[in-house]
Amino acid sequence: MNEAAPAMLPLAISGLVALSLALAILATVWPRQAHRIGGYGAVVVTASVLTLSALFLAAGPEPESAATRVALGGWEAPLGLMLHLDGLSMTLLVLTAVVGLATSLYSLGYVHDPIERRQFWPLWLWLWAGLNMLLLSGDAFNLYITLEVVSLSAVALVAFTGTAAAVSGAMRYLLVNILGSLSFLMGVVLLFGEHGVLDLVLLEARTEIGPTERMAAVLMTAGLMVKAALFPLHVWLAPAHGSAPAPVSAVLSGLVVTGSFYLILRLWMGPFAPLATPAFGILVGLLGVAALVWGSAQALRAGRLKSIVAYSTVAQFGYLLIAFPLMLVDPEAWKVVVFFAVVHALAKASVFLAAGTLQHAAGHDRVAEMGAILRARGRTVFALGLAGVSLMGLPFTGGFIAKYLLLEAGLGTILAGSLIGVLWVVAIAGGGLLAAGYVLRMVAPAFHHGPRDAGEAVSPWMDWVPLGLAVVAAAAGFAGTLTLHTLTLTPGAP
Amino acid sequence: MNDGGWLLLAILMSSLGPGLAIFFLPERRYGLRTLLNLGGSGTKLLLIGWLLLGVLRGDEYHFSVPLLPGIDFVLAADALSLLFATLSAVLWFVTTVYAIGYLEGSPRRSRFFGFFSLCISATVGIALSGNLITLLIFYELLTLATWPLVVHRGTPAALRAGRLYLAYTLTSGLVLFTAIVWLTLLAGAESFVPGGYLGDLATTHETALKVLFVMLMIGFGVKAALVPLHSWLPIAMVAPAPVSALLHAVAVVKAGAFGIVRVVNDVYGAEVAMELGLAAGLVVVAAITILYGSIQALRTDDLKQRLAFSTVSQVSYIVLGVALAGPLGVIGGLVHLVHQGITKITLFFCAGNFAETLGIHKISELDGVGRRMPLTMLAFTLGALGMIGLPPLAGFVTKWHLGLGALEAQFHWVLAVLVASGLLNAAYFLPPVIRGWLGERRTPWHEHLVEHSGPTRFETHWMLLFPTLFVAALSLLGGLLAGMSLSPLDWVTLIVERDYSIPGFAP
Amino acid sequence: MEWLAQQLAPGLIYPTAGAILFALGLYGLIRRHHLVLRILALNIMGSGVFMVLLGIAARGEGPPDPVAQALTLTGIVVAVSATAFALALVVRLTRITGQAVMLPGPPDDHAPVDDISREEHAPSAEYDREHRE
Repeated sequence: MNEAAPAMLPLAISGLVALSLALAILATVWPRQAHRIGGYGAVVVTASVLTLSALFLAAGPEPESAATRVALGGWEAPLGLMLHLDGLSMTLLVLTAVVGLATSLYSLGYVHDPIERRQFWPLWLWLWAGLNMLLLSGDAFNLYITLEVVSLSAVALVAFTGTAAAVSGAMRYLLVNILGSLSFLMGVVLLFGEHGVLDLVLLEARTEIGPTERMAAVLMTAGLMVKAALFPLHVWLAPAHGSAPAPVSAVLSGLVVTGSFYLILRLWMGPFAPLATPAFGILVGLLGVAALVWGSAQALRAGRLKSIVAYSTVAQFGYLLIAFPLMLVDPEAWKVVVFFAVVHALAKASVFLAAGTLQHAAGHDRVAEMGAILRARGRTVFALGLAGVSLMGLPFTGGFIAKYLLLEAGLGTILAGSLIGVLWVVAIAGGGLLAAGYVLRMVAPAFHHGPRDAGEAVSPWMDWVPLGLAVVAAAAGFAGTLTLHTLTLTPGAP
Repeated sequence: MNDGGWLLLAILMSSLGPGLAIFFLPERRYGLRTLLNLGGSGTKLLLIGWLLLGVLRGDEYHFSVPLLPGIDFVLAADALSLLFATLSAVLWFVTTVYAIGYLEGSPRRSRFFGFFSLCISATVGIALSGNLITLLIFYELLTLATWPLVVHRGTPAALRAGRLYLAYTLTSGLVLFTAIVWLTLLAGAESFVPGGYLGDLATTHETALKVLFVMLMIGFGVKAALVPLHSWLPIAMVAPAPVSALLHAVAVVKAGAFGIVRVVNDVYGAEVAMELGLAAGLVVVAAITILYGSIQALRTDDLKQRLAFSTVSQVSYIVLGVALAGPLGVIGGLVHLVHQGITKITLFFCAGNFAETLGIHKISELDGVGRRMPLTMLAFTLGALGMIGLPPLAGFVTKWHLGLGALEAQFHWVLAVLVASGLLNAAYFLPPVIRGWLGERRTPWHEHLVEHSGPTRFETHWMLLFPTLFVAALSLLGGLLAGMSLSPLDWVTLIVERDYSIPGFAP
Repeated sequence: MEWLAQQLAPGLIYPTAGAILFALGLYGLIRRHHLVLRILALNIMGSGVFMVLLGIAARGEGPPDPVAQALTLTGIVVAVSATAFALALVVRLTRITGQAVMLPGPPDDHAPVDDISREEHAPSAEYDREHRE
């Protein structure tokens, strides 16, 4: 379509990586101005990601040739490092930019102590840069490095408040993350030993099913499942996400776990695709159902607002596992999974930000004692409710469209003659009810009769950003066609 | 397809826009809020009037945006949608005036009117939906928008009722959701067509269609309060009177009934529904609901509870008429959509006036109220007689056509149900009327309203009285002028003529 | 004799030893509670991975694969930084709780919440101020 777009894409990709790294480095060496660098930088990064996505769509390539690959320093694979952009990474880059921008603006109000600013912004910018690089890497070892960048900055942010709970949560998070990374690295090493290449595209072309590939698949998947908090490797999530500062929780639940899940998806659609068997799919699906039930049950009895939200992440990620057997019946369903992950991330981030505002106002986040604050802070409760509706999968939200697609895929397996499909459909539909239960626990006290107390004053950023992000999560309901189209531009995917 | 699609969008926005604005309005901005409320509902009335004329001329109105590949969000206006949309818009306007009076001085009105407007937007959205997906979207939105209204008082009882309401409606919503996705997989995301679009599948996917029909009926049946899915309705009576009025007359139960009408008429089509034996099953469920609701209504002394059970019973007339699946039955059912709406809202307004003015909640306290509040009592009498189906009131027109429809469809036993239900109606509606006019009050009235906001010029606050009298007059005229053009009966006949392609058909 | 030499060839013995180290490290990570021991266990796992990598690099004829060596070096750098960071966290945790073990489970419902967005919070900021001055 557009003549200039394909030529400019490689430049734009390297530019984005350079820009996000430059911001992180700049904030590190110049901490006094870190919040300004971060605030303005967030806007610039978001603008460049949106420009990049416009270029990507304007280039209008055929699905087979849609991936843009950039060899860093002119060194081609297998020796050099490749950056790799396709529909899948583009979609998640946009998600990261939107959540990242919201988190940055929110943090302008949330982190106000001058010394804490100097610590917070460099860490957050490193995390963001790590995520961008993770999504753009096409090389297994480089993925390991970016995973480490993301984990280490995320752990530091979890420990940020310095309380016993936070440091202990961060410690657990760190151990689990290093374990996951090492397991992933071991898999990478095995693949490298077998095929002598690290580039994912080259690996995919060379993979045949052998014991080494199986071993590598187990190690890498297990490592990433630990990082993505996929059931039953999720125990670290609630302590870490629950005790981190609100913007950090939003990023962890919205983006970091999604990033790990992205890698799992990428690997199983690429090099490991031949290893997926129906029995394996059913096993993963059953884990998903267990995650959904267990996570929701914990969220229904947790006493603290942020714990509820954190457990809801475990539950919602159950859908991603349930989608696995659906993908075996209908390979196209992977797009549904990505769309679900995107709308979940938007909604979850906005719920966490709203929870942060309420916690700030109340000075605690014990649900039982929050009534007065909830009654007085209608705007934040509205954001919480709107994003909650998306989590429940009710209209007019992105969650509804995602739930529609999931149900469609689930019913498709029944129509294809799979009896266990009934279980998937019941789980997908019933999960919405469980979500309604825990969302209601957070929102309903606002409707009780009782005193009102707005609590501590809240900066305008903290007041409005959760609402804005919730509106975006709802508006994602109209982005279904565009997202699915972007995702079809992923070569190698079904 | 013409630019008329924007008219549909404007109709939706006329309540959605003010609704969202009201949310963010400070509590004390009484004037602006009232302006937004009345402006929105007035605009909607005008726009719907315009649309009504267009549809009468035979213009097509259509608006669609793609939601997903192959699945569109479709707004369309046919004669049936206009029936429901007009009813909603008229009653919304009246109820808004009533609610402003009713809630005067009470807290959190911004929130209340915000959700109130969302609720009506969802209802009109249901009316104007062009396919099942769009209908589902607005249907679920209605669930979400009514919950805050049900729990508005914030008392433990209200919250319990709200939880029960959500449990029922969300679960049924999920059943409906699953059914619609399944149906879309089988038949595609078709628009509503008179006569249905499943004809080709009736032979190949018979079992699937039967299961789907049951799922769809469960989905819509909860809101339409079909027995045994009705228990939420009497408990949801804790809501403020205007909310109960709106829930019962227009929004929630009617949305359920309207969904059933759409499924039977425009998705399955009367023919397929008959062939698969689905219509007969629905007739039985509707008949049971009619009798059960009436019997339960007899057993309660609480006025609003009695009205609630009466709703359970009366809404099933609509379902019954549609399930009879012949032109006369459908006329009876559809016209009752309107008649039950205006009659029931009259009764609820009256109950609200009694409660608000004199603190009366029970039928046994009604003795002699006719002397203290004659106009309200008159309205109540009109409503009650209309519900019983006394000629020439609105309810009679319904029952007449339903009876003819039953004969036409060879369901003779339905006549017996209609007669029994008429007697039961009389048995539970006449006692309050008799007490009100003929009973004697020994102790002085507890002047609830006067104590709180000073003396009133009329028997109660004018914003409570006038809407009541207005809807009472409507329910009288609906029956008296049933033969006039543009009366509900005339419009319904037009729908049936168009749907059943019987030009010049007259019952 | 020849057989043994073949088995002891770096191409096989290093990967095997690496795998054993990896497994031992994992065992230690799970069984030990003292955080320093756990960090050591992770380092042993890491060494296992690197050993496998180097073994693979030395496999076959000719000089070892330089890419693998470069990767190992990078990996070691990452591991060292992660270890340093982990040890710093242990020090902080020990200073707060008096023990180098993690608190069990998620924070309980009545634990005080520290909110960096509020004025009165700040153990970490105060701590940093003290140590900077």
